[in-house]
Amino acid sequence: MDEVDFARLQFATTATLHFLFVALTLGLVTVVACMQTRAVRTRDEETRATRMRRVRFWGGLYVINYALGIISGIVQEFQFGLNWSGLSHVMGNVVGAPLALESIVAFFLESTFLGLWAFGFHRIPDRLHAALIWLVALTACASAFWIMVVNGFMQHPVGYMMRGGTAEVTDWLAIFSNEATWYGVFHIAGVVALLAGMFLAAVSAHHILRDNEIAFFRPTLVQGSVTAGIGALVTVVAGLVHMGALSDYQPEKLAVMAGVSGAELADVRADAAAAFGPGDWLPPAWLEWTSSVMILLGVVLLVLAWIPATAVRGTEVPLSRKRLRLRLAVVLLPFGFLALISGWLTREIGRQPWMVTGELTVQQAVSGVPLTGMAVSFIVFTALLLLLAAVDWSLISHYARRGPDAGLVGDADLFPARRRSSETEVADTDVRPSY
Amino acid sequence: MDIFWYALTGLLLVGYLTLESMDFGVGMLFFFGRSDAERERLRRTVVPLFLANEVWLIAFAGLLFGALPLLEEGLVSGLRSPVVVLVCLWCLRDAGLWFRPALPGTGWRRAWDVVIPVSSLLLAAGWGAVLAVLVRGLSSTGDGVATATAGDLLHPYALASAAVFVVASLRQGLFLTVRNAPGGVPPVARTDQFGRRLTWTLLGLILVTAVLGLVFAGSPVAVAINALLPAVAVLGSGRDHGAGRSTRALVRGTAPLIALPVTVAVAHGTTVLATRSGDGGLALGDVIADSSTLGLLAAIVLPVLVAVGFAQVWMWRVFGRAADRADLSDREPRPAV
Ligand code: HDD
Ligand code: HEM
Ligand code: HEM
Repeated sequence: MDEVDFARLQFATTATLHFLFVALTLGLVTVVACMQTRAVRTRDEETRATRMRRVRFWGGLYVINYALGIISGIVQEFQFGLNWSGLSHVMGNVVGAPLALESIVAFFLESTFLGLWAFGFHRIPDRLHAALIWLVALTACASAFWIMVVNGFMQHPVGYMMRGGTAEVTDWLAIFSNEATWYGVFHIAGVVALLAGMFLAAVSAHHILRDNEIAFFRPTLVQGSVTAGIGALVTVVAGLVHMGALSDYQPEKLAVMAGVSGAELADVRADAAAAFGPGDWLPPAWLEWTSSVMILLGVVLLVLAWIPATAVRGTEVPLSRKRLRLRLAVVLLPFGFLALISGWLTREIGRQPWMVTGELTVQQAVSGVPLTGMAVSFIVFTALLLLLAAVDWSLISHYARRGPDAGLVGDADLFPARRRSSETEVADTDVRPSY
Repeated sequence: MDIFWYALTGLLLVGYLTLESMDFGVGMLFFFGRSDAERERLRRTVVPLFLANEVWLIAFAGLLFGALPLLEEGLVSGLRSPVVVLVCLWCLRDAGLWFRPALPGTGWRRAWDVVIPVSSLLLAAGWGAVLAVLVRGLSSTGDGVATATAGDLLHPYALASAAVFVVASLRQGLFLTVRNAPGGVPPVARTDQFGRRLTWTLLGLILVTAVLGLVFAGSPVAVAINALLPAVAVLGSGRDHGAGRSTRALVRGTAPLIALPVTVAVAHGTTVLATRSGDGGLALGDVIADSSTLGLLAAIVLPVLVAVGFAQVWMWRVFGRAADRADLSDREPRPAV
């Protein structure tokens, strides 16, 4: 392995971990925001207390998940300077501004609002508190959007001009309306809904299967699988449209994804050489596999994701007779994440050997760091992130399994357990067993 | 106009050091917490605030990348090893603050009780050393690239600055806890003597740094003055603390932490990355982004920074003293199982 391999592998692991967490964050925060809005608008004290209890349970899981989104995001941000200095040298003017806007417009506000929301349960008036979670959700979407702008530019550079070896922006509007960005945004919006819905359904089904808190989890099972179904539909439609568009701006990627071979592939190769100069500009052949996994799972999830919702319809048949449909919700969840990662691999590997299509290769973009330096930082960051990700995942599954009475809410200040006055019932059931 | 972006970026770094030093300090107070409950109370003092504090550094790095892309590259590649170490420590410290109460086991908490104070201490020390290296100027490699060698990082001036940062942060952490959640201060650190000792140690260290700066730094007078001015503020903040004016003690106590980044600018002016030999240094004019990028940044970033300012003030109001006092001092954390 040389320096470039280490830098790439490091980017791949960090970005994969980051994306696994933030994709769930994006969906879950929106779900929690909807739940809280509903709760705040409820008049009836008892229903309202139940709904706020839901907000605290799902919000608790969201907060644990958020921790790793941030940690992996930090490593991600510093990697650009550490390993990819060619990017700032050649493309600094273009990619710098969106990344700067991401960190200031999105994270600066987001982190402040999140702190206020997560710890402000009994300190901030109800409606304002609900508004805060919406602000967190909006700023999270904003951050995803700015990143997608950069990524879209790398896939399909527009609105710039090369002068003296560096890119200068000529048209921000073109950069922000880049088709490579927007197809991705729609597709990801679908994916995010799909994942959040599947997560909701899987956790709810887990408890219903054990006859635990059925009334608490029944609505979220339905909401989750319906959301997942709609998300799957959006994902698949956006993905198919996107695939059509690829023939326009990344024909090499599309050809390898679709697994064309023989004379057809030779044509694509020749066209690329004509456009970019002599050389082989096709991405690696195994792209076909990642894209097949994603598309196959997309179809499977479209067919299956909404089914668990039907398990709780009607009351005549006891829920225990519907085990198959409930188990389905649990079984499907990991496949959603698998599809997510396959999708990103498709997008990113499909860009190879380019960092910025047609302008800058990965080879040129890597920093002039000696092999040992690159290897050490790769090992350190990867080990640390994998360890923390494993801890975070086990915490999520621990709290998801223990159910609403044991969430992180057990820590009165990280996630305050009781609201004054309006929620006395909750306070009673909120006596936590362990700590 | 270039200066404006450089200054704004610097301001974000100063904001980070000012705010986050308190979190480092509270982290270091873990060393003095004798029981699980004492340490948990400490954690709760910072946990609603630390995210909003550390995000100043993320904003700093982001604006650096946007407005001064080649400076970001020069800084991060010149300071590669310390940056890798600091980022890892940062991740560990965050994980500690989030995860500590998440599981009931004692082993689990014990482990984080080591991670939190050690990473806080090293982070404070690391920032002091890195900034001191920037004040003194980096070394240059044979082919004229700026780089911080182990010798630079372990130079007496860097070590003294690191010590100033550690003690100043610990002191800020103490003042923050005294102000926000007096019940949270571990009994060992609650005595007047403890605070006084910190103040005098800090003054001594500041003096040592000023002398070392005079001897070793490129523009000795500026460096010495910038090292000595905070001494006055620290003296004042010690008195404020003694008289129970905790907010003022906290505000004045930030002086030594602000002084170092300010010194970087004062000592080198528009040479934004200075080396001792002059080879491989970067001038502001060469690292600034093109005008269309800066235009876009100005249109969006400036209003947002104002909004952030309001949001952060609001946050300090909400998690300020009154609310916390009621909450933290009379509610005992549940004992571990
Ligand atoms: C749960 C996750 C998931 C599922 C079920 C699907 N995808 Fe996807 N796909 C992603 C997750 C994803 C992603 C991770 O979100 C990507 C990577 C970057 C992006 O914009 O979305 C992506 C990218 C992506 C791309 C972009 C490649 C590029 O921009 O270079 C195409 C053409 C498709 N997908 C097509 C599909 C089709 C036709 C699907 C179903 C029939 C499908 N995806 C299901
Ligand atoms: C968060 C989800 C993402 C995932 C899972 C992901 C995945 C990957 C993978 C697997 C690689 C390695 C490809 C190879 O073998 O060379 C890679 C490379 C890279 N990606 Fe992404 N990526 C993500 C987001 C992004 C975004 C948003 C950007 C742009 C801001 C980006 C920029 C890069 C860069 C700079 C490289 C290194 C150069 C290269 O190998 O092409 N990635 N990514
Ligand atoms: C490759 C480039 C990327 C970089 C440099 C990056 C950087 C970061 C950083 C530094 C944070 C932590 C901010 C904080 O303290 O609040 C973060 C969080 C976040 N990122 Fe990324 N990120 C990248 C890719 C992505 C992608 C591809 C997405 C989604 C499509 C995304 C969405 C988010 C969201 C929603 C958050 C906030 C929520 C959370 O922390 O869980 N990021 N990112």
